[in-house]
Amino acid sequence: MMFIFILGSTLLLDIGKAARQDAWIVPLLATFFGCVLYLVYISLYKRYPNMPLTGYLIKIWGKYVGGAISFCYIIYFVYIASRVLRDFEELLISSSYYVTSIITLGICMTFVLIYSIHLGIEAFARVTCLCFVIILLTLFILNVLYVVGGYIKVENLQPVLANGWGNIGKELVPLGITVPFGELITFTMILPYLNKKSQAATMGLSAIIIGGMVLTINSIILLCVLGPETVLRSSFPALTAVSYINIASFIQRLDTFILILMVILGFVKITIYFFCAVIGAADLFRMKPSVTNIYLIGGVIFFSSLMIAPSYQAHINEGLKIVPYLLHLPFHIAIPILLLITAYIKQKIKPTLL
Amino acid sequence: MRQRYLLKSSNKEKTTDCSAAPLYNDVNKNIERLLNELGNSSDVSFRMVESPYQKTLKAAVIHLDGLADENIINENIMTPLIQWLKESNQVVTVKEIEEQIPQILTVSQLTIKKNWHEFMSAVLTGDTVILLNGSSKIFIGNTKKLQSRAVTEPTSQTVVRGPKDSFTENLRTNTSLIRARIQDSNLRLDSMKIGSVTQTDIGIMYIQGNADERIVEEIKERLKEIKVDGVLESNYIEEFIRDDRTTIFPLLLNTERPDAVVGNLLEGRIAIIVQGTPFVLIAPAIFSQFFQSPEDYYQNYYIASFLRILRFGSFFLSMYASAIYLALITHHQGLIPNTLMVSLMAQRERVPFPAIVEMVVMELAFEMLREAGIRMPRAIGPAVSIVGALILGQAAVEAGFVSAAVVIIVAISAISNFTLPSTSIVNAARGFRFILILISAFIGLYGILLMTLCIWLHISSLRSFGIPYFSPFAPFDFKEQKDTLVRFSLPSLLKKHQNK
Amino acid sequence: MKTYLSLLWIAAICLCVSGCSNYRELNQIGVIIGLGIDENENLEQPYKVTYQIINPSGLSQGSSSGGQGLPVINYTVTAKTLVEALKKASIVIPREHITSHLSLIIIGEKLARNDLSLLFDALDRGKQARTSIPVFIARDGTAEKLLGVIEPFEVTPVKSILSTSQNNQKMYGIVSNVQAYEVISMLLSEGKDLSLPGISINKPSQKAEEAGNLENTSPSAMQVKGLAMFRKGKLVRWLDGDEARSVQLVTSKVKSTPLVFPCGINGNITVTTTGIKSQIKTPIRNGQPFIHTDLNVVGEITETSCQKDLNNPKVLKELEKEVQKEITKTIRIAQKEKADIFGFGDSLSRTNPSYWRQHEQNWENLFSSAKVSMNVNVSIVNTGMRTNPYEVN
Repeated sequence: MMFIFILGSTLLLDIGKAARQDAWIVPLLATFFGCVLYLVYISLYKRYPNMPLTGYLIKIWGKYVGGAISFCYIIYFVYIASRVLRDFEELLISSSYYVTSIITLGICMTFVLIYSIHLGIEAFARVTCLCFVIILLTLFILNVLYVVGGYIKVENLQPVLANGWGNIGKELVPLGITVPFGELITFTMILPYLNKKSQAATMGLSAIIIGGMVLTINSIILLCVLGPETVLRSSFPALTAVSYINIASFIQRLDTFILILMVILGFVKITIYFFCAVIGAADLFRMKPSVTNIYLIGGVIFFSSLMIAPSYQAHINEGLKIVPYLLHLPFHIAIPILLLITAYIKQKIKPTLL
Repeated sequence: MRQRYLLKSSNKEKTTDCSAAPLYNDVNKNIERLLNELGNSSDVSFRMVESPYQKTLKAAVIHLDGLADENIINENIMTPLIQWLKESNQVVTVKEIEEQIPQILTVSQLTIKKNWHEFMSAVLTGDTVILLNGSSKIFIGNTKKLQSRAVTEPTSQTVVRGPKDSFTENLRTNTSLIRARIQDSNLRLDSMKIGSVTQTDIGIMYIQGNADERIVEEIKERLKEIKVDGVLESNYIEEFIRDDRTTIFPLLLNTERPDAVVGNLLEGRIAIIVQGTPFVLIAPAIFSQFFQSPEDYYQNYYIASFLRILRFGSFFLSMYASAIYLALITHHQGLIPNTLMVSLMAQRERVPFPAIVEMVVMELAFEMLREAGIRMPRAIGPAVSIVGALILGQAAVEAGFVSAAVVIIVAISAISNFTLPSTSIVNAARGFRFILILISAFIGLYGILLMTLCIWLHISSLRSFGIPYFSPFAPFDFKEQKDTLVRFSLPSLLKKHQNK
Repeated sequence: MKTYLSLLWIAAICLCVSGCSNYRELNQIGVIIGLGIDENENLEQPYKVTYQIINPSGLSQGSSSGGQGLPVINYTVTAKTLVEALKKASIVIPREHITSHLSLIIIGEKLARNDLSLLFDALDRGKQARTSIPVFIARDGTAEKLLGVIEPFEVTPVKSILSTSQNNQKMYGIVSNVQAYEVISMLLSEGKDLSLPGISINKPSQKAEEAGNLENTSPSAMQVKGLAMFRKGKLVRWLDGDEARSVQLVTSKVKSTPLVFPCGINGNITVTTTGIKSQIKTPIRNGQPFIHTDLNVVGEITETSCQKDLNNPKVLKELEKEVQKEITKTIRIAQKEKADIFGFGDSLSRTNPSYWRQHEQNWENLFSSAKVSMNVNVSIVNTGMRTNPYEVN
């Protein structure tokens, strides 16, 4: 599940493209930071193995501060869910469903989301296992097609590091880390539901490493096929790359097909956020996740996905300039680290409290 | 369903009648009462025998014509009884007779009962009841014999190599077929009767030690809770005891083949045999089981693996072929390769209907043909099949009603339906096919994908007696993969059983 | 709750059915397979665009309804921009046309001489058409005329252009297909200039655009004629025959081609190559770039008309010299035109990025004054089924 989540929107939008031909180094380094961040989450989880994030926020920081921040987290999850929904709707509209209105696409996706939340996290986790296999298979076949068709030009990667480390650094922080890996904060909400609790750390770390590797390989291949300038100019580099494939004039035009598979990634991501919001709300307000709840939150996500940005450009702008600094940094990195420190200090002072 | 509502009113009257009322001492009165209750049915036959020496020594032998085995009655009941009556020239009391009767009658099972309810059910199930004048005990001799089919080849799940016997409608025959294959003392058979009017015999077989005790208990609990008038087929049982009442996916496997049942029993599952149908239920059942045919184990494992993958592929194909075709030609024309595009356009030029209408009409026509094929008398079978093929295929295309491509796609999805060994899962595919066609006409591939996710979510949330339905795939159990998509060689599959 | 749910579903479905959906029947769409762009005299509307659309009834093999007409139909409109032309074409095209099956683009020579730099933005940005389609230049004529020629063998003119140029690339190799995304990247970069294949009509006649052409034993046909050399997006010169082929030799785009060189007084030896590998090197000495090409050719002798002894390795040397002469000639032409169509600049940008960053803007001058050196290596694998030619007495 984590794996697909990490792959999520990064696969499609290809973060780090401003670093031109060194863009593949960004995910490589980000993996390392991601692991560090994940360790922070795991240590928090180990202290409170049965409570989600909102739970131990209240425990560590007291009822009012913790409660307020938990509430912010819930709103944050809903917001990000609607952002990702908007992302995928835009993707579908700008590439193949140009006549259908965005509302229809959104409604359909929202229904499936509501159904999946309704059935609970276990059913959802099983479906993601299947999706995992499918996505891996698809990526593998795609890459094989690229190689077989001779679209890979290794010289597109050269010269390496011509523009220096500055660009890479700019891409890495904050976007490179937070977008795929910082969003693992959602898993702090889900981890309490794991059956085999001891394996949380190892599974998570291996998922991060594998995910990072796949992202890196993907980045490399995209650069090789398209060339750095095209990657920079494209809204959806992965889609453009797929449209080049034309083998034996039969295997051609796979873009829509790939796009549909990408929707799986989006679906997984949004569902996880949705779940966190529902679990958080249930935990904070002491409610059981009832059907009305789910429909309400689903509706909110859908409508806000329509309203958060008037156009695709504004949406991307928001995502690249405002959101990382304002939202991602504090929620993903700052607050968990502070939490950990506070918990540690508290433990030193009153060992019996925990 | 209608029968239930009809009988419900009459049910109430009956319960007050059939109680543990005692029998009369007088034979004639008992017989009179029996005939009254059975409404003077013409198949109740009885014979009164008397001792020539003692006038009060009378016995009546009562059985239902057709259900009771005449031979056994003649040889093992009537002959010794009359013989004894001839020879007993001493005066004996009723009590002495009651003690002697078990030694006189030479049937293999003889029970002595006292209440009316037992009397009725004994007569109705085909046993012979011997009434003594002056005694309130009845002697029930086991003379059941049902007219039943001989053991023949299975009609629905045939194989090329492998045993060719199948279950019949008789419970005892079925259990004997299983017993003949598992000659182990751990094989258990529990019985119960379900259905207040039909009193159908149900047998639950499992291997003690292999099967999970909790599931056995659970099944028995659920069976006991069934309150219904009649059980005609194992599907009645299936719909009552399965976990999720509303899903289209089968949660219990049903099979006609004894070797399949035995294989499942060895793996720790439980078989439910119902009197009156050759289809035996197997619980619990998971998704991948419906793609296994016993023939997989009787052939080389390479071929078996290939065929299994083919079955999964054809399940997928039978659900998606029409929907994907429709999505491609209506929403995503860009996905069709150039050369194919040209030929498809040429075909669709002359067809007046929209693609979705064409597709739905063809699918419905094929379903109708299929239903007709099942119910058709043998004599006109070939004629109708020729007519069907010609009309649907050739003439429709030539007249310009449908395009040739649609006929091909519908034929492919229908044929791939038939490769699956279990009809219950095939029905699920058929059901979803129509939904997918409609959705693909509305929003193309996106809709198909979302519907697929919904279907997966639904399957993943199903449980068959507590075991996740999608088991070997998710949660992913690596060891179990040896027998799902591909089949590894038998020595490596069966090793663990030998260790027990 | 259930009623609300069903209401929502109905609402969603209504939205889908009401025409706001993407549902298009196959016989409601016109599939554009070829695009031709020409120059228009009217300055208000500088583009004359020709669309080639498939006519399905002309293609159908159905017996009863009968097909009518030719397999494709061309429609021409004039407009200010390409996208306007696409939408404007609806004044003549009877169906909703889509560009997702666009297979090639032909640009008229006059337009190419003017400037085609930003012509491809519509293609690049668009959602339906792919950028992996080849681009050609219509030589000695207009794209409109070219798209009208119906040849036997291939069903549509577009297909026949594609097949002819592919066949040429495989067997003769004077030009190679350039895809639209490559065109864009070549226009973008300073280090490589654009070169595009040219197509013209062989045996032009009135009947070329009619079915009558199909009933002729020597019909008008598409011909691959020459390589167009561009400088900064403008066509400057045509290269023909062997000169064009040398460009392909240097950029390693040709595999099998006949190399002819004279031997003796009147004779010629033909060597058919089976594999060509070339490497471009741009070393910098004393702050000046040098152009160096390493060429490895493997071939077999397939025809000879002089009585030389072919087992003599000296024969090879002469061939190498010939090839070198050809290539040097072509490079000199390119240098004169200040158009680096070989990609030496690109190679420099990769091996020596700092130097490249300084001198990028000045590359065309540097290129024209750079010294050329070459290393050609030919190896003959076999001489066919015979060793020496038959002697004529």
